[in-house]
Formats: sequence, structure tokens, C-alpha cells
Amino acid sequence: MIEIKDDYLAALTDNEITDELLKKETEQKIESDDDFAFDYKIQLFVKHLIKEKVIKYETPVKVRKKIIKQTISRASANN
Amino acid sequence: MFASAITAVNSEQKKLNEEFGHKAIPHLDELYDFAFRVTGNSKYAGDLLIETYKRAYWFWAHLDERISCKVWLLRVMRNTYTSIYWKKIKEFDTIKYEEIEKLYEDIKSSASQNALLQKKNYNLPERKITEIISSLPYDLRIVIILCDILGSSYDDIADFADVPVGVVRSRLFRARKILFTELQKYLNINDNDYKVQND
Repeated sequence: MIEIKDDYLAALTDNEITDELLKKETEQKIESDDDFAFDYKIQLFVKHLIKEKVIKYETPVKVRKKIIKQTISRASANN
Repeated sequence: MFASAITAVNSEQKKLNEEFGHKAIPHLDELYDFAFRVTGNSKYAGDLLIETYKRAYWFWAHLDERISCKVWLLRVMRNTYTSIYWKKIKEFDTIKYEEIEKLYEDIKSSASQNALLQKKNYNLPERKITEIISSLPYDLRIVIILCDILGSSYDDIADFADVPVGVVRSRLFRARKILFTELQKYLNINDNDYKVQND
């Protein structure tokens, strides 16, 4: 019998449990334990909320230009 | 002989530039996004990105082919951040985890679990969620940014943070619990539906 720790719920949320038996036992515990199941729902909820709400920040043009200038352009100019 | 040596050097330089341009430059936006969320400030994020790419270019020969270029760049950024910026940037690592854990358990035992899991019940602009993530302690913030925003695997996060995968797992579990507890401040449902003492 494997001990199913709470933090496996994070791994299940992220599809990071590679051991099939462990995955199955974690899923079984979710079905049989309401408290555990709610923890799982919270993990999923937060992950999906972040994915939905968070926008990606793009590199400011000024910063991008400076990086290009300091690396590949500067080195090319030296040749 | 001297001319041929110069030609060889130029050829190496050209190869390095092509490789760097092809492999490292495409990750600029992901690294900027990461830097912004770690520092919580666009000025510091820009400076951190510039310094990171400068160092990455210098040390390009040390790129470890066994790990992805993105993870390697993130490591360079982590080292840059800790060596230069750590002391300059305001840290928020003042979370009282025991209190949050107690609040989390109170929330769990409330009568309105379903309402708590409806996204529509949260009045939460993007700026707020960014702020909430920024308020997490550094170690927890890092795993959330890498996993839930940048979509990194546990192996990559473990490589980045230099911790075992089990630690990544437990930090993520804990970070999401804290975030959920913080989110309750933005819950917008009827008081009768939400019978939990969260003041």
C-alpha cells in the first residue's frame, strides 16, 4: 500500500505522476475522501485561474534592442 | 598565417552569433515575463534581462546540452538575480504560513464549497492576480511562475531550483493553497453562501 501524500495532488493536477499505480491510488483516494477531493479541486482551480487571468509580458522594444546590440550585433560589428 | 588565424576566429564568432541568435534570442519574452514576476518591477526586470543575456553570451560555451536552452538561461538569470539584485529588491517573504493554513482549513469546512470554485464569483482583474503571485515567498513564487505561467515541467523546475522533484511538488501544492486563501479576498458572493470566518 502506497502512502498517498497531499502534494501528489499538485503532481496529478500537472499530469506529472508517471507511476501508473501511484496515479491510480491517488485518483482512488480522491473518489473516497471528500477532504482530499476538495484539495484537488483547489489545485485545479488555482492553476486554471492563473492560466486564464494572467497575461504574458513582452520584452519592451528598448530592452530587446539593447540586448541584440550588446550580443550578436556588437560581435558581428567587430568582425 | 596570421590572416588565417583571424579568419578562423571570425568564423567561430559568426557561428556563436548564429547559435545565440537562433537558440537564446527566441526566449527573450519568456525570460522577461519571468523577470517581471520575480522582481515585480519593469525597470528591474529589464535590467535583469539585459544582464542575463550579457552573461549568457559570455558563457555560451558552457551551455549544457543535456538541459534545454530555456532552463539554462533561467539558471543564468537566477544566478544574476541572486548575485546582483537580491539585496536591492524588496522581498515579500513575510507570510505566516500557520495562519494561512488555518484559514485554508476554515474555508474548506465552509458550507459553500461549490461557490468557492466558480471563477465567475471572483472579481479579479489580471493586475490583482499578478500582485497576489508576487506576494508569495520567493521559493513558492518561482514554482508557480515556472509551472503555471511558463508551463515548465517538474524536471525543468527541479533543475532550475536545484532541488529534488518532490520539493517542487510540495512547493506547488503549498503555493496554490496560499493563493486560494488570498483569492478569498476577491470573492463576490452572498454572505449567506459563505459561512467562514475569514476576517
